[in-house]
Amino acid sequence: MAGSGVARSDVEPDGVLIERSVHGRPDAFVEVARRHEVALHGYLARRAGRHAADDLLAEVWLRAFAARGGYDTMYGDARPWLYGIARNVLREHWRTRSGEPAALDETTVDPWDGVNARLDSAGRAKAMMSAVRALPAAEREVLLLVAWEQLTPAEAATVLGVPQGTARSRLHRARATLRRVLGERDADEAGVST
Amino acid sequence: MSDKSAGFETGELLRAIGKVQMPEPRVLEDAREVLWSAIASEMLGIGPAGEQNDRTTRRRQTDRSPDERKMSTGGEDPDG
Repeated sequence: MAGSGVARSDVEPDGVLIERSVHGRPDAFVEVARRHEVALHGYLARRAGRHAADDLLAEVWLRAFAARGGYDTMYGDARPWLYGIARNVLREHWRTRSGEPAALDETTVDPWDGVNARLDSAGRAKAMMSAVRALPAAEREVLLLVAWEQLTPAEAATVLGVPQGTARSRLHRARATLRRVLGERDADEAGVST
Repeated sequence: MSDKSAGFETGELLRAIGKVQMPEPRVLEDAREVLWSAIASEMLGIGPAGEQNDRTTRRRQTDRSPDERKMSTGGEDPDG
């Protein structure tokens, strides 16, 4: 699910490619896009649906390319920066559609049947979706960046433009809420069945 | 259920509901093609504000978010 973060030591970090793209080799940016295009599409698809993601991905590349001069090349992995740009693209997408974010909508999180097959209970998955949807937006964003995009809390903080401590505390609260809600649901079901 | 196992299961469930299908190669290629157009404009000296991407460019010039221009600084978006 996560991006193809650069792990091999013989592969140039994203920061090096971006710097090169700023200084006379703009085509170097294409390799950055290649590395992260699946991850970025997944980020967009999980939140806006697959079809919207198809359209929005190019917009992310255009904006990232235009903004690359401001990239801090001390960061080797460009994913947090790219997710931050994708987040802004999504917000404009929702704003222009005058609708609520489609995240966690069953029609946009696919393949739903495949998900159910991997779970003990479809009801439990739906309970999870409801619980996530009920979280404060700020907590939900951190949680999903960590769970879905497999970012660290520090990287999620970069995406959101908040201090790392803030991201960590939001993540802690979100996880605690989910455990409590799902635990209560299990307790309720146990009570009904006995 | 222990906190540890509950936490593990919560994580598994979260990952499961976040599964999406891989994009079709054509989708990724199309997006890259748009990027190549912007690159070509810059290399030809038209620049990112050239006419080839006028729709996107107009938006970039008017309401691009400040946090797109920097990596790690800045606060939360006020409307976020």
